[in-house]
Amino acid sequence: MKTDGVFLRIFLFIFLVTICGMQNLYPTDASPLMKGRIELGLNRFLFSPHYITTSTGIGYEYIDGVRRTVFFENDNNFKLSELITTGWRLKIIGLSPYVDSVSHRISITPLKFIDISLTNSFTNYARYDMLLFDTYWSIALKVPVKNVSITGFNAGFCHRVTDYDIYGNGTVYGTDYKWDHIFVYEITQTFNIADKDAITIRIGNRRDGLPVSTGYFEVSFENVYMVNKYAGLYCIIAHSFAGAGSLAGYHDGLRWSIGVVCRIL
Amino acid sequence: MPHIIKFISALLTILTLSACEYLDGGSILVSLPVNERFDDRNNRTNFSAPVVDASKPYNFAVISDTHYYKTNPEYFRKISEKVSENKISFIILLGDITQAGTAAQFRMVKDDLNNLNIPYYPVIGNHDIYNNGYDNYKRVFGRTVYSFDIGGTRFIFTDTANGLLGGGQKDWLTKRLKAHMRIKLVFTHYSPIDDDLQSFTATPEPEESASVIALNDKYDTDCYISGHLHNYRERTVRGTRYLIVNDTASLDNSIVIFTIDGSKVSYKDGTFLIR
Repeated sequence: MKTDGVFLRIFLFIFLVTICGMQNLYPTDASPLMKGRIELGLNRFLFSPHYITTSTGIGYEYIDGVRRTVFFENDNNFKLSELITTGWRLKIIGLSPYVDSVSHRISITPLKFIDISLTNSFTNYARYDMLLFDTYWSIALKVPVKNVSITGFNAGFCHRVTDYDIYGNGTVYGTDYKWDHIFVYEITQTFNIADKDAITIRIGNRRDGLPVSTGYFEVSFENVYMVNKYAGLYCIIAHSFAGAGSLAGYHDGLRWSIGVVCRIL
Repeated sequence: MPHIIKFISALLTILTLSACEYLDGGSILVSLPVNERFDDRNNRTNFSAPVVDASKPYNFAVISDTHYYKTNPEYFRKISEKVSENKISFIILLGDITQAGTAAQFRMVKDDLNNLNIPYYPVIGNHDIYNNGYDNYKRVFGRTVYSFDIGGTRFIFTDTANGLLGGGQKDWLTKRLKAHMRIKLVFTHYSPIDDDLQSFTATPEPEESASVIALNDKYDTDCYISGHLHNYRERTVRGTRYLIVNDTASLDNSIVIFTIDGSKVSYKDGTFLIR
């Protein structure tokens, strides 16, 4: 029996049906890709600023045996066009404050239900004379249900360089620095519980949006209440688990933060 | 009718998986977290130092990840041969002694270890706490956190079965490392330095790994010896040698023999550690 190209055709058929089906979950909007290219033109597709969101808050973080500290966080998000969103995040810890982590991210949304993002971050373990540099890419798939909830599946890899001694000049691999490749995943479930209020539950191995380790596991609850379309409040509570064989024992971590969100349209 | 068949099939699958200890059907069950095991140490049997003449060179063997679920006389015959050949004074087991933490597995491995007729010092691993395995571990072996000195050498055994030391144990470790000893050796299950491609059982908290590396550097730990990875690795980071011992099923480096000679530590054919 001749089967040349049959599997490819079946794959293409299923792929296209899936894409069309997913796109139709957004019945009111055309695909940003098509909208950008045909109706708005390429320039507006690549650059037509939608909004800037900035959130600033304080919080408290406890990780047993590691840290027990207050922190200050600032996160900025620029939706440059239908396609491109960029932003950065800063976290400062301690009563004698110093930078804990800085990250920059850029994400593209080629289709309404897919986000492809790249994040570069720097984590400062100044107390231990060590630094982490992460490059993290991920693909997120979002499945909305009638403006009531959005389920997200996010997976990617983080490529991490650990500098074991920031004061040392050595360049020997495994002794002075080392690569780690970390599988990163996150499942999110957002509920629009009221017109102005949304709750997101996140389960994955990221903390503050940054990868921790493959063996890390965190559940966080994030509530954003928009007072009006320009300003709102947010509150995040997270508990982290970790250990052998996923759940045999736990890593006692707790984090909460509160702050304000401003949106400039 | 099809529903009943599906239900019976699912039930049989679950029962088969549960009966097969190698598949770790119970690994998702939660055991005591590390802080509670650490706090429980004073209620448990302590380990006394082996009787060794520290004025002369002496040897000890380190093995890891035996994952015992059935008796393995061949493996213990090999160890027995090594013990005779190298005049081993005692053996250290670096965790994952059993496959699924069951009482039968702990009894089996203890019987085979007792047949060697030399002292042994266990470290608890992640597999040992599966199925509430700590209850069995403490009955068979005793506490999970302890230390002893032989001459000028301090042997410290820590509990990282959950992948982490926890606050109380880290303070304890700091106090043990602060002492002025000629040689300091730490034995545990998880290494603070993972393999390049992390697994799902990698050390969960990079900040704790950083703190352990800094602690070893500050207090001049000579060698930090662990298992868990099922591979052999050795690295020197900030003056401390991090050695990961292969599992017992592997052909290479599944038994690492250390020699202590005064202020010198050596393992594996002339690799010397002098801080």
